[in-house]
Amino acid sequence: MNWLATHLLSLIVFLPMAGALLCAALPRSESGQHKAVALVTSIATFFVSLLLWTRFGAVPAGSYAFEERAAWAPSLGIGYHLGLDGVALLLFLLTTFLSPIVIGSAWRFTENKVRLFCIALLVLETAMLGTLAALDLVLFYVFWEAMLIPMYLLIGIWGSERRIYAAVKFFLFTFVGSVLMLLAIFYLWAHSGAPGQRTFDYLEILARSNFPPDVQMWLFLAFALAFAIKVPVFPLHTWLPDAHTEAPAAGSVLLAGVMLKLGTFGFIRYAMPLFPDAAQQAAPAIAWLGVVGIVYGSFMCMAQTDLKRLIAYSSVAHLGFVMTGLAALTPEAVSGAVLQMVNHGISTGALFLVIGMLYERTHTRELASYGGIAKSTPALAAVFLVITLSSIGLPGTNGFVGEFLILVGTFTSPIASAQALAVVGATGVILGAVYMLWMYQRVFLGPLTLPANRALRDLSAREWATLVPLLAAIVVIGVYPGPFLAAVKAPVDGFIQRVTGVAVRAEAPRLPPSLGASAPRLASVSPR
Amino acid sequence: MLEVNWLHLIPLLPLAGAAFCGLVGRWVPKSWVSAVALSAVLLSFLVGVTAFREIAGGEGSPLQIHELVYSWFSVGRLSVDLGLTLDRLSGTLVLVITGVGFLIHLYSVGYMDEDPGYWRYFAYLNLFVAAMLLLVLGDNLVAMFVGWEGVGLCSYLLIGFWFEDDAKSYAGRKAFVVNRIGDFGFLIGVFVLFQATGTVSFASLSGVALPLATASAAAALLFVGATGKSAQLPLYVWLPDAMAGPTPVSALIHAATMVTAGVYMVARLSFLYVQAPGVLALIAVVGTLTALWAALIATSQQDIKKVLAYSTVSQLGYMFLGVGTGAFFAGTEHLLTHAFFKACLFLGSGAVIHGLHGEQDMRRMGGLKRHMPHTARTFLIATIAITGTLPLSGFFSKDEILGQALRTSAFSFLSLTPGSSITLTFLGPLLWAVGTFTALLTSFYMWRCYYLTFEGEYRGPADVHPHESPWTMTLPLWVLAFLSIVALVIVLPPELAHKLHLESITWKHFTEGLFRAARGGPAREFAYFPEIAAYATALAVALVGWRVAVRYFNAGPQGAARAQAFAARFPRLRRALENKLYVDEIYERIFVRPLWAFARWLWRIVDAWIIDGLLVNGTGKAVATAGAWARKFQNGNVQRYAAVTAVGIALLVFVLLTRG
Amino acid sequence: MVGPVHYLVLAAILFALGAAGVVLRRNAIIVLMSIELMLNAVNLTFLTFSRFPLLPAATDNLGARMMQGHAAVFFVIAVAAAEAAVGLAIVIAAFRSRRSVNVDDFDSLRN
Repeated sequence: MNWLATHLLSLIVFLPMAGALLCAALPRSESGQHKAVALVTSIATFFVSLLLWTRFGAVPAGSYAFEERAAWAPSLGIGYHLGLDGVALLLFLLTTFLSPIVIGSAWRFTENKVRLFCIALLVLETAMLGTLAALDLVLFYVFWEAMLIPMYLLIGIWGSERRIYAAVKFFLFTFVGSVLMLLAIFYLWAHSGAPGQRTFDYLEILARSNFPPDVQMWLFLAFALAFAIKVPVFPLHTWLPDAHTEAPAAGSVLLAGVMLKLGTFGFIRYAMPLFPDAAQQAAPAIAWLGVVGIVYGSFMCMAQTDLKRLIAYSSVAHLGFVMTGLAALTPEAVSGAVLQMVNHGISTGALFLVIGMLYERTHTRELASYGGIAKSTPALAAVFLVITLSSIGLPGTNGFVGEFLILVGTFTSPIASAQALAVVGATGVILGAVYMLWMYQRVFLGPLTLPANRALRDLSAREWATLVPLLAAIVVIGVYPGPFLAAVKAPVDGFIQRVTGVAVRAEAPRLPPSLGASAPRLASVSPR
Repeated sequence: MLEVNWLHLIPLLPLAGAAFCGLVGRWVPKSWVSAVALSAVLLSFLVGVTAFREIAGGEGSPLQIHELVYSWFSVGRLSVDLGLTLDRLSGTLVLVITGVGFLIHLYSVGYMDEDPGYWRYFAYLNLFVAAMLLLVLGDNLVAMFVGWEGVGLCSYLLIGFWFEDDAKSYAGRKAFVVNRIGDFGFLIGVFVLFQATGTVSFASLSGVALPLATASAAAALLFVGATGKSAQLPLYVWLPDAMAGPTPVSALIHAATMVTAGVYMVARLSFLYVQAPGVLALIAVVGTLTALWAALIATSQQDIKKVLAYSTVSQLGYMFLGVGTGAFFAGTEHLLTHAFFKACLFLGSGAVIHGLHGEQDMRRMGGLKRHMPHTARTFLIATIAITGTLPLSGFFSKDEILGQALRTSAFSFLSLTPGSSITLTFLGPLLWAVGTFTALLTSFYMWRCYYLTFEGEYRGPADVHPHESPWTMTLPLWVLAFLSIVALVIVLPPELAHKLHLESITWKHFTEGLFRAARGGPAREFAYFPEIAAYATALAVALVGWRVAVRYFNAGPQGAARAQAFAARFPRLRRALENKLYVDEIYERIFVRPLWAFARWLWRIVDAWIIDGLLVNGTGKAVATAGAWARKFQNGNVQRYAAVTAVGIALLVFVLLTRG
Repeated sequence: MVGPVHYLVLAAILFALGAAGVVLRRNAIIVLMSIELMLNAVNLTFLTFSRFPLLPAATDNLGARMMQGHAAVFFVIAVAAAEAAVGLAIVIAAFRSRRSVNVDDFDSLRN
């Protein structure tokens, strides 16, 4: 029992992998069994991961909960070191939350190579969880690259017409960035101490790193490139629309729901804290790239005729918000960015899920093939509307809290041209409504012209089961974001302190001099 | 300030009603849906009455009651609570929202009786009431913004209620997007205030002295939000299209409540706006121009709802003129009276449309007072109220605004441009003149509307038999007409109120101390004679408008011929006015179409060609091409390989031997 | 007198001829023969330096001359024989599939 408690994190990270091995052991033809194993494993992983939430407690900045250490290759300085801070915890839970939903939604997806499909999903989950939990740079890199292969298979085998092109593009594009990051990791290792005492451990390197600013900039760029491709930051984004359009719905949900966030996670955990001077210097540029992403992504959405491609570009826009928030380096903005990472995972993941359901019925993603569907699938239309509203940041949904915090934090940020950044970024609020509602109208509203769409069946019980948790999350995070924001407060403050060198104080609102006696106070009413 | 813990019931009850109707309404009987929806609003109204009595009790009663529902989110310097404050302004509005809202819910029971989306309609309507209440009760900018966007959402849902019609769905989308443009301004205004003060709560903000630039920036940006929500120039274009929704929706949202949110916001933030007198002047000018613009367009509209829509835009302009001159009480009292008579007018038009089975074109109406006596009489009362033909509520509230504009000293210290010596003292009287002319137009177009619809002979197709509406629809009409008359006691001018010993219940007295005083002091007091002259002018103007309308539209075929002849003298003007001065077309050409074309261009050129084509796929192709070129070295001939190896080794040996 | 230079020049000429044959001749068997020629040229060079050592009096403890060069020649002859055997076996196998011993025909690894 105690072993379980001390190795909880490893257990959760590798539980999906165990499920994958079990799948591999079962005969290939038993597709029902494979799906059942996958579903049970992912649900079990989710429930065990809830233990992490309940046992998290308040972890001060700079320290990590559920730490585990084991020697792996001590002569090279590589260790097996896991741990979670508040930010990683939220994304961890997002991953374990989305995985059973994805597996449940893909239940009737294919009869082709089901065993491999389930194995790919489970291995992907392990790789994503490992990336979040790793505290050793080599371990992190291994898990980071390990994500590529299952996703490559998912896109390349079960995708649409141009799946090979999309899979190869995804793989190569992401890989190129990662390779440069590997070089930077080696550099860090080489300078982490005298020969024989070098280490790849993240916490050690964080403590010892003391590079001159120009060296820092190169290292930062190497790390940043890998993460920027993943996020994706404009102009490195063109792999994303292709990957999303060609990927099966399950792959898209995980790709948009979690994997993109790992790019932003890389910024907040690795790229920026390891090289604070470079990060500070680069912050305005990153923020501008984020804002450009918001506006550019929104314009791209307006020009699309393919549903999934439209949502893919909307991901670029949303993550532009996140990058701007991270680069603004104020507690409001960074907390908002972290929250928005989770929010985007839920709302865009849900969007892809519903679009996948539509695709299952109509086998087309073209906007022109839809129109007026709300008449034949009212429940689906209603659900889609709620998710759309979350995506455009309607107050009451989760999207509003994140966007508002990011914009407020950016506006009050000390970095250069902060107000201009916030104003241009806020136009994303208008543009988001423009393209999302346009898309909604073209798909669901208006007259139902195509006869094929008359017979579409509405949501089944299984589909409801996958959507209700997401809808609940949208409302709960929108109305009650307190616990989530509290969980990330310590790492956010620590992050800001590390990058800017200025500690974040809990400030009481400072009011300029009061109007004083000259202001007519609210006088009590007296009868004349 | 009294802390209570039941204030949240006011917005919560309609929200619960919306949840019930939305989630299970489809499968329960219609009577349950209407029962839940109506009782939710009614209960909210009763709680509102309780709250109102707390603060309106007179000496010794608290000025506000407050509830902190919970702390919504708090990060860094920003702390946003969901707090509710009810004072005399918001308390009155709560009563109006829930009261008029209840009447409109009742009316909808009859109006939407045959619609299959009955449950959806009431869910949205309840949700709207909840959001509007939150807007009015919120004690900080963000809570107000939640309600602000919430009513925008409900507007979208309700305008596009009959979603199978593409044009109606588009109208809903247009409303949401144009509102969002305003909301963008609102948000930036919130950011400016937060940056300067570190707080968003009204209570804290009201005690802060802001530098002029900050206050002006924040005030102007928040006003941009108001132009969106309250349909002023240049963002009013969504309101006429919003008539695509069911008529009770137009009555509730686009006459009585949602569109007044902008005026409410300016009044609520009076402490901010008095610190930005330039912005107040701007508000007054924009309001007056909007009033004139919309009134001009309204004179030539053929659709009865469009006339009322433009009339709403115009009357909102008056409200902004009121608050813009620093007379916050005047703008808000017109808000109240307008809620009653405009709702009555809209519901009346709805009854007409309902009775004519969907006809909205006034050219095919006429003589309906014989078929729909209740509707006609209430419409008549409301028309009198809005035009100010007789001293009903509309007369006094509108003329209070105009009087304040004439006498204001809020502009006398402002100069036309920074540094110039021309002061804006002339602005007040100028706005009064424009406003008075607009009142003439108002009277004209409203009486035209009445006569075309209810008087004369019926001009519609023979197979349509107009009939009166059921009691669920006529009762609200009478209640609202009654309120339009009775409301005059709260808007009586001070001297008259004093003579009638009704001073304590006038709005001006009721809200004393609630609003900050504008710089430049209160309006100059007029002596008795100029005051009477002002009122007489107003009355005269209304009567002139009435007579002109009678001459053209209540004189049978001769009148119609006269109208045609008159219109024929200005063909282009007439066409322009009929086509709403082509504003939508101009926007479409300058903003909408270029934006979409730009998006497509950006996609084709930058994304597909430059980034993906040149940079990404180009890199791939370059690598492939280089590989194809390098591959040529491999010709498969072993001898060549051996020769190359030999030459290479020879070179290597040479280099090593010579360089050492 | 016939000195080491003559042997070395002969060996160099033989090596060059062999190299030229390897690179230029079309018949695979001739190529193998040319490789043998190069190897023999190398043998000659080893023997030359064994017979005419660069360092005078390269003797061991017992006074006998050092014979590394001769020993190397034995290695080379053995290796050459083995390599010739393997090479001819490859040529025969290739001939069986392509029915030609023209080196230019064996370009399936082209590009």
